Amino acid sequence: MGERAEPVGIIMVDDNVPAAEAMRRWCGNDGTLSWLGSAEAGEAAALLVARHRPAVVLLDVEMPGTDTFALLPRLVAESPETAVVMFSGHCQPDVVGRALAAGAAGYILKDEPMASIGTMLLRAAAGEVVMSAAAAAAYVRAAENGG
Amino acid sequence: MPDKLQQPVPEHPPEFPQLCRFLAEASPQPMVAVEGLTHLVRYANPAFHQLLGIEDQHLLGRRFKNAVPEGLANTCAAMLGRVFATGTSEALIEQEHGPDVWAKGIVAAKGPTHWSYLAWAILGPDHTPAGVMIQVTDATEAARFRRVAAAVNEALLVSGVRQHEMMEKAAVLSLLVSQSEQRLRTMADAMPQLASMASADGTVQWYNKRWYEYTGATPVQLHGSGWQSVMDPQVLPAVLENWMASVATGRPFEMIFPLRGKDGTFRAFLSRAEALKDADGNVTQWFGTTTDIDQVQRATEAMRQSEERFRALVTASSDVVYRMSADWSISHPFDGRNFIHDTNAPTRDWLTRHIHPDDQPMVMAAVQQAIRGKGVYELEHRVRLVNGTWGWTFSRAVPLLDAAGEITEWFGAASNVTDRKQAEEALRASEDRYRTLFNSIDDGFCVIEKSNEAGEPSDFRYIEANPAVEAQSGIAGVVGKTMRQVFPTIGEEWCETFDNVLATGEPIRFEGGLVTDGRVLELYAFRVEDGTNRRVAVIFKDITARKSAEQELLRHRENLERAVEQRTAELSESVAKLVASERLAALGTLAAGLGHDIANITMPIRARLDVLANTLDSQEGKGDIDAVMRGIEHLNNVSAGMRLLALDPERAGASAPVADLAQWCSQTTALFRSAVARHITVECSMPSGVGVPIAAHRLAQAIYNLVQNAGEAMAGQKAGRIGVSGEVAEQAGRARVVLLRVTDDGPGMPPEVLAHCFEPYFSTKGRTISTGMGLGMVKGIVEAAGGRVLLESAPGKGTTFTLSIPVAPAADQGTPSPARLHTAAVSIRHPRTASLACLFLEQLDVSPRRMPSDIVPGTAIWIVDDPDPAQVAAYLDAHIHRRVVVLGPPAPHVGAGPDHASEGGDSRVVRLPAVPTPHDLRQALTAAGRAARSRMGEG
Repeated sequence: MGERAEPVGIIMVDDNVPAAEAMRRWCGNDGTLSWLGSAEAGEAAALLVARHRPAVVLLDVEMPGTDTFALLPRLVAESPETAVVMFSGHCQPDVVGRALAAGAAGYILKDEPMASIGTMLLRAAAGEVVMSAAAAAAYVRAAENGG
Repeated sequence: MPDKLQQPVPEHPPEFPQLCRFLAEASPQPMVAVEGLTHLVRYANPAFHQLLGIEDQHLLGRRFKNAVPEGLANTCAAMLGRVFATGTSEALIEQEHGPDVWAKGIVAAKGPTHWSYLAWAILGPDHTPAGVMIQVTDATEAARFRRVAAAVNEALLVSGVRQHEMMEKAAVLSLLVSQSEQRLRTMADAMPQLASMASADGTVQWYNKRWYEYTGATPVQLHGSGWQSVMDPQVLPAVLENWMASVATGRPFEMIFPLRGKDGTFRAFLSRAEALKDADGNVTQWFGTTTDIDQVQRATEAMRQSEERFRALVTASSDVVYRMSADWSISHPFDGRNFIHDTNAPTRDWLTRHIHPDDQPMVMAAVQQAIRGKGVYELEHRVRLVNGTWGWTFSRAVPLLDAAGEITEWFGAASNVTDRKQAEEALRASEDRYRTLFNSIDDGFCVIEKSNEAGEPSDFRYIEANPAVEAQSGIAGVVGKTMRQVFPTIGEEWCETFDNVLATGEPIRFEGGLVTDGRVLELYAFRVEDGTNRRVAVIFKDITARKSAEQELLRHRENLERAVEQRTAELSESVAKLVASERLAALGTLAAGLGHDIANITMPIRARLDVLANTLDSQEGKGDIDAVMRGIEHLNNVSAGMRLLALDPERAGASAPVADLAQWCSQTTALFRSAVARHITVECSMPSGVGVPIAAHRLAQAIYNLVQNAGEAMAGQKAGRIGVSGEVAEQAGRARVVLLRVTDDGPGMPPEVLAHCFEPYFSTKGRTISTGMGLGMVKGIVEAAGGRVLLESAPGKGTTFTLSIPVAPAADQGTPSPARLHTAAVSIRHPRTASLACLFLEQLDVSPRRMPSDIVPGTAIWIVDDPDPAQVAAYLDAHIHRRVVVLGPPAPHVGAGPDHASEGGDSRVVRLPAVPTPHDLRQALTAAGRAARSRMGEG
């Protein structure tokens, strides 16, 4: 983990408002992270990202009304320096694989311990691909089975 | 020149010329006088003028031939010339003048006229002809009269000649007559009839010999009316009356009357007499014949009676009765009896009228033969029926012979056999069909006839057998043989059967086996008609194949029934289990979903708790938050555990091998607790840092099953305890094993249950909820991981299941087990960084940013930190896809330093130093990538 002069900017895209609010509170408490905003759906998210050019975007996989797999490459293309990390309650192998192939910088499960989440966000900002263990397992097993 | 004329000849008196002139003037006859050679007209009297209608001025002085019309002139001209020349006279009598005379208006009358001319020479003074005087006389009447007279003369002459001729003829005729009479008499004498001749008044003048012969009378006796004496006195008056009437009228006489013969008997005679008449129609003679018709009469009477009988017969029979001429050329009229057309007049075309053209030659041939042989004609042939169609007749005719044995005519009768013929035809057609069927059917068909006499053993002879008999029975040439001959062994039995059929008329179906070749026949026997011909028909076929097939089928069906029973039992068991498992799976899916939702819900809680923990100063507060956090984590654990029950554990992310039993246990304890009733406690304790090569969800299912079994076994107890524990056991010289135990203090298993409890479908009780798999499943899961299941149980002593699962050596420092590192790294070509990135487990705590680009994208890289190549290889063989590159630190004994070549020749393994630097990793990954590429090139 390298030294960072400034806090890492985070934008969260999730229709679950309490979750976004909690993350905002938590990020605000963490000196290494800087909360730039949240959006509940795709269009707003794109606008937000375009305006702020965050270091990391936390992108919820299941948002009703938003085609995540249309939004993801769009964000990646419009803001290449942003690490778009998937944030989900489950990890189906095909979803994980698809996300990574579309340019996601990682896949974090929501039951990941908070400290671990923090570390992974910083690492993503540093350019790594960050995966929760279960997601990585799922992805690797899928690759084994013929991916 | 009157003067010249008036100069008379000296001999004549002086008044002569005047007289002559006067005569001429007054004469009614036309007169004209001409003078000289040129015949100049000098004088024409008034009558002449009147005749020709020409005036003097036109006549006088002109030449005769110029002055008078042609006809007159020409006729006279020559005569004039002659008379003048000769000085004499000449007459032309009755010169006919035709149309030219009256056409010119000379005479009024039409038609030929005759004139006579008288010309005399007028002498001059020198007594030489000076001229000619012509007198014309109308001789028409005279001519006519003369002609008539000539004709009369001729007629008279001819008449005279004819009369002479006739007289000659009459003489000849008289001669002939007398000759004829003589011949007549001779003939009359010769002929068998009685003949006579009578004069015109009826007196018989001559009798022929027969009269005398028959009557025995003498000529004297018979002479004249002597014939009356041989008459029947009673009949005589009538005869006389008739005779006299004929004599009077001249009409022919005909009568039948009896005459007495010389033997005194009267016989019937037919007497006829014809009159000979003269030219005036008067009778000159009578000729009579009297014929003995006695025999004829009798014959006629007999005939009549015969005819009567015949007619009666004909009327009674419905046959058509016909008569043919002797040569069959003419058919007499006959009544067609509504069978064939009537013939109302004798006809020659009976053949074409009635008989079918194709049959005509045959009929004629038969007719000719009958005629030749004078025998009976008999034939069946086609005839045209009254309705126009063709029918059949049976025609029979007999010839009638005369006394000389010659055929006079034919009498025949023709009956309508159309129906019979049609029936015959139908029968023949039916027979043909029967025959065809008989020969072509597949089944053997034979007709047998009772062949034994009374008292002998029953036997039947084969009368008929169709071709299939041989095919079906295997025996050829049965016709003519008896049943006992053909089937010595079963013949008796069959004969009994056939006797029964014959007696009762009831058909029977039965089976019989042949000794000859063991084939089985199915036979159907029935009586033919009413049995008076003592025949039975038998239809049979070889059913050997069918029989064996039937037996086969029966066996098969039995097997099938058994199998069905078995499968049904299995199926109902399966279905029950399936239903239960589906319920469970549904639960699992629900649980998995729940797990996902719980993660979502708890994340914000945890986030805020974390903040709280960081911002709170009070220790107590921090402690509270800690507790809450633990609770949340526990909740997360439970939800994670629930994922293990999902039907699709891979999707739920629970299919990885258990890396850490303690962690796994914390997730699944709640699950296990849910499997048992509340009064039973479940306690789990597992070592940490130890994993087993079994997928988390599978292990969960296996332990769940065991816990559930234990719980059910203890259902009746007030309280119970189930313990789930694990320990690592070292076995000297053998692989390290993890022993997982499920212990209960339940009733234990009796020996017989103990013996069978691992069998599939074995169950001691029904289950409302179950995993759908039995202990067999548990066994399967464990054995798949290379382990085994041990069971200790005794009644009253509880039950302990021990799963002994081999694992890699214990993870102590420097020797981690391979099971720990399943999600070591994934190499991907990241679109953002345009380079490869690696994911690493925290364990290694190495995180190079940029990796060489020649590692094959999508290759899963496993970092193994086990030094034992065999273990690694085994692990690789068991778990690793070929596309996965495994990097492993070198074994301690090999020594540190990057040794990129793999030991043991497995190119999938590339060694890493114990604490690899990023550089080491980079190099290792490069090598691994190369190896992977080459391997993929291979395969």
